[in-house]
Amino acid sequence: MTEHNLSKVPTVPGAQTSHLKLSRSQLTQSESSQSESLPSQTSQSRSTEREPLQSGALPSPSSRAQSLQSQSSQSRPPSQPPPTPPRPGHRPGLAMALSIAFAGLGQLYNRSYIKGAVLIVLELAFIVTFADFIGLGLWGIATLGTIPRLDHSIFLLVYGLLSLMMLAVAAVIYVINVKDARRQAERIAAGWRRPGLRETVKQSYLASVPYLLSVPGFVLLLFVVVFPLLFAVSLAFTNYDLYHSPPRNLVDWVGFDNFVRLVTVPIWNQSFVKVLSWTLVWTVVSTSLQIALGLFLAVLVNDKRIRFKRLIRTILILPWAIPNFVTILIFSALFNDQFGAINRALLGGLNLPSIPWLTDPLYTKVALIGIQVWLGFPFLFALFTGVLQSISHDAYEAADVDGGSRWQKFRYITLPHVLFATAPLLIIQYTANFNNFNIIYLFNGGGPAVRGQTAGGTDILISWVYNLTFTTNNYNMAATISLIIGVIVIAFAWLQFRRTRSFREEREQG
Amino acid sequence: MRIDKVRAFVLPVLVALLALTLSACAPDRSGQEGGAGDGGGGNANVVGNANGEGANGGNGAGGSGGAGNGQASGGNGASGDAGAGSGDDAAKPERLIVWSNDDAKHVAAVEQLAGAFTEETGITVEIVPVSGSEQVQKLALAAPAGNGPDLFYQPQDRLGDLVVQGLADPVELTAEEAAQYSEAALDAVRYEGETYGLPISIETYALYYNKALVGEPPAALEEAAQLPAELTDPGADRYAFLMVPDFYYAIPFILNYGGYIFGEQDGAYDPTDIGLRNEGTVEGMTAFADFVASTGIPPTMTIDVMDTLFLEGKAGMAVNGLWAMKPYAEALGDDLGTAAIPTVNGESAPSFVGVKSWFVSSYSEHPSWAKALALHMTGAEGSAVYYAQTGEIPAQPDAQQGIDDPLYGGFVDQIESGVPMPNIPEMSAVWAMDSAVDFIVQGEDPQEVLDETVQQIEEQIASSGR
Repeated sequence: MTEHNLSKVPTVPGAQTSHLKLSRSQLTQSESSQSESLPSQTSQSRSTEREPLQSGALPSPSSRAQSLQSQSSQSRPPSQPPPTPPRPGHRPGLAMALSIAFAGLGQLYNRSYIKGAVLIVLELAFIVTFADFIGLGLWGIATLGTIPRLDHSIFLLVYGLLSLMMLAVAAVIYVINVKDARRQAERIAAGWRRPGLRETVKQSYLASVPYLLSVPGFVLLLFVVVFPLLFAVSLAFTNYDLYHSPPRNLVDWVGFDNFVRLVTVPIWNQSFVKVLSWTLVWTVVSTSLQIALGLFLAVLVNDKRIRFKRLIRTILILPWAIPNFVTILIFSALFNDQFGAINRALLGGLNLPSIPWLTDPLYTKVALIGIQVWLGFPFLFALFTGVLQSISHDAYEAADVDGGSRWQKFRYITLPHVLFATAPLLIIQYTANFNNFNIIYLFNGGGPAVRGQTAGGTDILISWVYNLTFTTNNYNMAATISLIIGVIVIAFAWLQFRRTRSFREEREQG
Repeated sequence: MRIDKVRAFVLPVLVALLALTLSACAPDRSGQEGGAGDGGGGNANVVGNANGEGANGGNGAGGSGGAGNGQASGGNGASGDAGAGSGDDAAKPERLIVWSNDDAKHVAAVEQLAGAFTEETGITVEIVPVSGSEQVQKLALAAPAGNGPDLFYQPQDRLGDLVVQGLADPVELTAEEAAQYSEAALDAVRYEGETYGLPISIETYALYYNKALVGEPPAALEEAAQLPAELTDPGADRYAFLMVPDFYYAIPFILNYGGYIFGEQDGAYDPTDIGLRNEGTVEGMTAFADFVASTGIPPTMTIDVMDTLFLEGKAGMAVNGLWAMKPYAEALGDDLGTAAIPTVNGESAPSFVGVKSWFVSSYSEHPSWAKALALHMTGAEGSAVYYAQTGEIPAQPDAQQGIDDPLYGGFVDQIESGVPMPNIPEMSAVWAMDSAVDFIVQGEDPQEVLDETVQQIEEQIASSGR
């Protein structure tokens, strides 16, 4: 019974709003079928949503949606004059063709003079300002330079990527422009009457505010996230290494050669498979253990019978308060084979033989996982504690009435609640450990060395990439492996996020 | 069917159009192609032109322009005002930009030396502190864009990287100018027969000993194992002799038994000839493993542990670099002594030597003036100032003799027998030997391990893209 009831608990808020949701989705449907992302058009549907509020005439949402859907001419705000007869002579095809020929011409044909002029000026300005740069960039990214020393391949690659990004933005604006010309022409042909200048300005202002506000963030995102990403991805398809480094030499495109080399050349493929498999083992084992420990301790401390809860919590969170790298370096000293306290005081005190923590790959792996669990559990402990305190006692009392066992209560009440609320954060824990460079590098430098491979016994992909880039200057291979890392992490995160209930819930509501 | 045909027609047209557009986009530089066509040579032209404007009437071709400049400054005396000498054949720049290491002492020394240079020549020297380990990377981007320095600072083992990327230019030194530096230091900054850097300081490792425990260091390293047994007691953390079992510190054994890293041909290293699997290396590494085992050095010894033991007076001797002198001297006081590393296999022990140097950027517009500044900073007086500020051992022999701190004695002696770390880029692959040393010290068969490691090094070099 508990399970049945509980599975409903999280969806209750959703159920209450279900009728609202329905109408909203109808609205969005009608909106999207009509206007897609066009600013001027959304302005109309938006204004219809708002203006009735001001005028006092309040049709129900669904009827509004229907009116929107049925015919656009009826969607005018009530303050507009009555509809004029259709003008079949106005040709949407011509407006579209004109807009394709040059941005803004179609709008001029539609007699939206201001909009048309703005678009024409925009396109002219874009051509005048960026034509040379984009020309150079496109030539640069296609050839990566032809004359050593004069052409700097990396600069040219950067120019090329920037050009492509600018062209992409321009293309989006251009498509909007063409669609706008066509839609407006269609409406004019159907007899739409242009509102006054003030009204138009007001409408377009209302429509564009969210876009205007998000543009700076979006531009920043383009340059801070998208651009470096594209750059790194491009490098994976070049031969950029020490001997193909500008300014003296040029970089060339090599297609998928790097990927082929990764699996065919012995020094790469022997290490790659081993490193990849240890990376996966490391990620899964260390993260799962830290989650398990965090949850176990949180449940334990949350028990009613435990006293001095605050004190215990403070102590358990302490490992989190110390900077990671300090802890790792201290552990590295503690685990030293000859001089470390673990072999000396702990094992020596118990008359046990010393364990080669830093010279045997297996023991180093065990030690690393132990340290990561130590470093990682306090955060999860804090997280789970917070969630546990928000679980209503009613559920447990109901379970008690039904004679649920301790395990059943944990399995069917505690665990679903906790996982439901924390799943996204847990996934981030996994991906973070996948790329946990600090602990690997600081604890034993990826060592101990293993005979016959270029990577150390505990190197994970990211620390291996670091060695490649900084000791042997194989930027192309480093980029290739990074790309693979990226794909793995993205794939993993995407799959998990899709399966996460909290995200699905949001999608259903949105 | 028709759509397919249209597609078959449209696609090539689109591709052709794209190709046309791209070729139309190519920048027009018909005038520049000849000049930059041949890499190093084209660059030498730039040097020649800059120098030649006054004396040679603008037609100084590459090498002769540089040589002329060198002689001119030599003729006027290299001692105090080398700058004035080259003033005859190159327009005096308003300022020179120097990338110094970002270490505070280093910056202070460079500031003091540059100040003196400015007084003499009237050229402003702008000092930009850039971390030594990041300079090459930053230079590769900044210099071609016109934001680079005239003079920058690097240890000589990066020289190969610099030349391969075309970031540093050779400097022509007159006999008189070359005489400023020890032959070993100049050797270290030579690459493929040309001199590139102007040596600032030399660093290597030597032997520190605790006079309270060891009266006199043994003459031969092998004798360290026979030191009084009470000095070595691992249970009580007492060790007669400590060093980190690494390739860097094991090199005396490899070289003195007949091994080598790269063969040399006409004064240049030959990366196809690696001598780290020959009989000599095997013997040397076997001797090293024996030495480590018989002296009782723990195979996992790290610098930190060694420092701690030596500072606590539990280690009689320790092999370490100059950087450890200050803390050691503070802890041990008068008990601290330094000496050259005892002989290995009957010969003096060749330690790895690094030479920190000034390099003239390929993109400097005033290379002769940059050279003059570097000469000024590394001359006898400049080196003395540099030593006083940083405590590093100058590459200038006179300034080396001028060091009166007895603790430096061991290091100055050690430099005599040191070998420069190979400066070709292939050296970065050779550090795989660190693992080989680990394995051999842990008792694995030297021949097998070395064969494997050298093969790995060769593969690494082969896949490095040269």
